[in-house]
Amino acid sequence: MKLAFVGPWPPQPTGIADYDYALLPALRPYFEELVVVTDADVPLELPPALVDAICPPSAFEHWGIGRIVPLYAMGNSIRYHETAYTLLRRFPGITMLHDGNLLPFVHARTLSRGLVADYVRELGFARGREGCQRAWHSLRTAEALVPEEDPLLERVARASLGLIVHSNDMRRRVLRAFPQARVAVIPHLDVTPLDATRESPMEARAALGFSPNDCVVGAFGFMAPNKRLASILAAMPPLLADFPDLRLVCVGEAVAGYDVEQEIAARGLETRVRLTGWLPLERLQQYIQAVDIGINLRYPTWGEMSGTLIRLMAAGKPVLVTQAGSFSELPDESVIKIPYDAAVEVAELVQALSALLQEQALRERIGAAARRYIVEQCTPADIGRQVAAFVEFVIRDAHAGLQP
Amino acid sequence: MDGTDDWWVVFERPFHSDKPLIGGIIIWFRQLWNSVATQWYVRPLLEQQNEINRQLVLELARVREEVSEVSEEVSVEQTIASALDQEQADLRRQTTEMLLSLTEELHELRRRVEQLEQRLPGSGDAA
Repeated sequence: MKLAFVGPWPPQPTGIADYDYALLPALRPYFEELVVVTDADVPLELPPALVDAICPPSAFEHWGIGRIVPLYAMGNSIRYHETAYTLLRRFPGITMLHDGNLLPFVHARTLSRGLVADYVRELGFARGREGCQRAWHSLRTAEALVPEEDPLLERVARASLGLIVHSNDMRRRVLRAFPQARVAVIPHLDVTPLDATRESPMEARAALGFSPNDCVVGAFGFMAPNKRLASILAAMPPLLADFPDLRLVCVGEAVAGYDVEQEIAARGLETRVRLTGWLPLERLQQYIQAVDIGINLRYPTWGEMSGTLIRLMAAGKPVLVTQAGSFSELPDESVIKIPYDAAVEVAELVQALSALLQEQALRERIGAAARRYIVEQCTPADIGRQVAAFVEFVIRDAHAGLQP
Repeated sequence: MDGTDDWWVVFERPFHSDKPLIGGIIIWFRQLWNSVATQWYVRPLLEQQNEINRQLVLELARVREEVSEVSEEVSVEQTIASALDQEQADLRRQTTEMLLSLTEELHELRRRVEQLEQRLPGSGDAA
């Protein structure tokens, strides 16, 4: 079987590029031909032996339908996933869906370019006449649609021969969009590169300018209001009374319009919080090694899994996550789950962080359980086998459906 | 507003007065003055205005009915277009499934043919 893998690839600065890169060698043994498809305007950082060819999207015109199985990596960034979305509509394939909210993607692809008809058509595809009317209403009143009501997964779900998602929560969302979809839940793989830093936490701290006594807590990934940074910052003052060496490091880029610095300054925490912005993989891995505790809160959530959460767990770090969406499906012993209810969230954060900062044994126990989960469920070899098996299942199932 | 109501009719208002005793005199005087000074002039204008109003109300009712029909048609068109869009996606998916499946079957058949050819007399295996 021949596989054409369409996705963002390193050095494109997105977690899904790292994911694809980690998955590629694990897929290699299962396909007689493995082709990478990209529209990146930079040379890809892929070892030549890993793939048979690197092709532009126009290669599909030569292949046509049926001679190669496309595997699309789909997220909600217009920059990195438009090619996959466009190709998927013409050349149906298996879609690895990383995000359960495609409304911003559709918005960026249509209205942001003045393509009103395309916007109405997308809503119509998703919800029929009612969708068209909702689109017109939102245009006339400038009342934005919300992903809770219009996640717009229908096009991708319906165009795909099968979908791979990383959680049951996401599976439910896809089936809500298109009940006949073939959906496989395959855990998010461990994206930590094999050549990742093997520095000890102390070495990493020293290299990053932390003092040995610092209690370092890290929040990783894109910073947006739904990552609950406001709650994390609110938890800092009561903790600082007991842990004066507490430091928070936020590793990741802030989304446009989100003024993180202002939020930190408003609480007078400038000397306690370090903002790194986006970091290359090696540096990111160094910060993961350096932290005592990771925080990966997210609410609202649309079923997505977090690559940085998996990295933290793989590094054996105790992580606080939100008790919602995909995160709530992680084994209870491998993370600490914080309710998203604003009335209790900060108090629960203070309590959990306080317990972890006090007890090294607790940190080690949760970190070990996290590491165990990754080793047992998320190794690239296992995930590659499951992805290949699902591709084969989809083809067989389609074949069975054609039998008289 | 269906065109049959008379809300749009402009009519002359009868004079009235709240003044006790002299009220009747005031009314009589106003009516007298009105009949001399304005009635012959205003009444045709009222009639003309009423005709315009009547025509406008009828036209408005017709346009409303037409808009309602067009809305209904647009609504049906939206339903059809969305359904066709979905059908197109379904057809593409099903065609791809069929072609991928046939490609696999073709490969399998070729493999079997090769195996059979090897078993035939004169092939390397048979010798």
